[in-house]
Amino acid sequence: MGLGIDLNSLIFGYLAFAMVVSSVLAVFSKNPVHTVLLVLVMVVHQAFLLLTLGSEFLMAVQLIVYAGAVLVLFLFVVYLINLRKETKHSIFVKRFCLCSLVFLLFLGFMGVNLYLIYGAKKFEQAVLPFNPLEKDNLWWIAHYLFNYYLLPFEIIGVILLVAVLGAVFLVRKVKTTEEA
Amino acid sequence: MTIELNFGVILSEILLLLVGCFIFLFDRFFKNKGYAFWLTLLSLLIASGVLLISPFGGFTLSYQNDFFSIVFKFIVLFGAFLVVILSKNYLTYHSQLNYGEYYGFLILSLIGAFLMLSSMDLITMYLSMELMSFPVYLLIALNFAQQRKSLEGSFKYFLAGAMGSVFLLLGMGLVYSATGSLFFMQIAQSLFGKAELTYVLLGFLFILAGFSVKMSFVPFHMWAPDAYESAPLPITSFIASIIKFVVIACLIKLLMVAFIPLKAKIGQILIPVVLLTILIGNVLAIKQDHLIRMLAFSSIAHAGYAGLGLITGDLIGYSFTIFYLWVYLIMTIGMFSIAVFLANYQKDLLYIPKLSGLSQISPGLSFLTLIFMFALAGIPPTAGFMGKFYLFIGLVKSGYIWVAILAVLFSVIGAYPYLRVLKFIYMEKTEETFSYRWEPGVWFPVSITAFLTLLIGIYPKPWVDMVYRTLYLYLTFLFYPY
Repeated sequence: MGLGIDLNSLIFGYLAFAMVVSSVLAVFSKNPVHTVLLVLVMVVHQAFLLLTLGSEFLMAVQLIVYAGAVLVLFLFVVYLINLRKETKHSIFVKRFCLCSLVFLLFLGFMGVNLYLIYGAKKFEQAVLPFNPLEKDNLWWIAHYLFNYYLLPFEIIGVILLVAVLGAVFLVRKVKTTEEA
Repeated sequence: MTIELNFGVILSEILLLLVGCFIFLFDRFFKNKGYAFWLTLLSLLIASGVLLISPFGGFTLSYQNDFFSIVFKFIVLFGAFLVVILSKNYLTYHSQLNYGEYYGFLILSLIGAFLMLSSMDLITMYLSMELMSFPVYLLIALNFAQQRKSLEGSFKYFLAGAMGSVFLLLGMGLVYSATGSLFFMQIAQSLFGKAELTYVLLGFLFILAGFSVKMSFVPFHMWAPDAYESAPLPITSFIASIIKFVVIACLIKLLMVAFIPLKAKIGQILIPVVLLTILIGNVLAIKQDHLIRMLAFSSIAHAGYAGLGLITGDLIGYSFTIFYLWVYLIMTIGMFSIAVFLANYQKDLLYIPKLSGLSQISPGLSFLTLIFMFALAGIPPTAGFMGKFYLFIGLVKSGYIWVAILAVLFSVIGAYPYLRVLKFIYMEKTEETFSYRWEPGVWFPVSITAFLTLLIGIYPKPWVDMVYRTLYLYLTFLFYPY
């Protein structure tokens, strides 16, 4: 505190900065393998962000599911379908410079707006509907997921069903016009 | 607070889900795909019967059966019924699309629409919106083997929808951090007596941006023409009418129930968005030569008209918006049935200049086109006029005269593309001819929608009253239960 910066915001700043940088790099990287690895870096930082917020269960899930399973799957896909090189296109949007100029102007406008709205006062403290220190993290998640958010939990199941069916349906063998 | 698991209220969704799963599981065993059509039609009828007898109440805190959801579910069911009948006719002429899965995905999308109309918290609303749109993305891409463009349209819609979801989730996060809840009633409670609303307002603006993608409000409208053009025509009418209806009805529910103190402010913010939506939709529709593209831009403009009712931020304006959407649902499905008829016999008839001299070949069809085009343009004895009239009167009554004047001017621009179609049909001559046959799959939806268009145009009062009373009774029962 002697420096005027507390440790919490320092750690948060580092994690947020690393996440933003790694995700931007992932978008602009030419090599799909690099992209997947950069997303992995992002996911790990996100997991530690969850840890600083005191939700250790979510951190473990994030590490196991995203870093452990999903991204490895992505890596397999990249290797299996031999996607090492990016397919090159001519520039997709016409008048790219103008578009990016407009985008930057828009960002600046948003920034000025946000500054005008929030610059003067401090951000409000977030309202929590419960005291997280009363029970442990996992208890709260289970309590809310299986009591209050039971229906959304079921809807997610139906959405996943749609996604699976759709993926199978779209890769079915059909006669294209060229073949017929 | 007690958590109720009352399966009686959610029975219609369960029924539709079972039918959808049946179609996906047993589709291989049926050679003739007509079974899926009849099963879907039957399940829609049974679902409407179940809705009639289903009790009011909640299934956990996130789902509620009440006046709002039941009346609007009936409207959605009516639209879906016509779309399914239309699909049967379309699929007999496009047999490469004739899969049982077509109806299965339609039913799954309908479940999403139902859940969205009943949802009482933001998470359920978001997830059911996704459930409503995912099958539609797939249905747009259905024809990808014959028409590469349909992949483009589907992917554009998907990306736009994903961007909208990001906005929506960010807004929900902001609202949660400010109010500490995602349930509408608790948000309303915590906003009541709160002096500082800017934080919640920012959150709601993000939610509005997420909804705008589905409603095709102006900064987020660019997916619409491509997706509409490349989808199978009945699906296009489904996106244009039903999805728009459900999403705007849910936006109104959000404003009426959860974010009550923000109503007036959101109305002010919406003024430029709505006016721009009307202007851009109408101006871009002028240049289109493809009938479906023209209807796509006109659907953007019509979403703008419907948004006019949100500006005033009172119950009357909201009921006019929903009335307009109901009218628009009828008009769109009617117009798309005619487009299906044209596409069945000659695909290039969907190009507007090719329509010239249609009145010599088929006077009846031309007259029906006339009715729907007049309705879309807003010319008197049709429902489209009454819908616009109510919206403009509502604006003038609450003092937004300049908005009403601008909207009227823009709708004059918007009359051009529709009248252009009529000019080709009635004032040009042609040598070409084609044989056609009236089939129940087309004349049933066309005649019902044309009849309703004229009926509502001549005697609109009971319909507006129905919508107004629904909203009024809903709010009364929600806030003063006994």
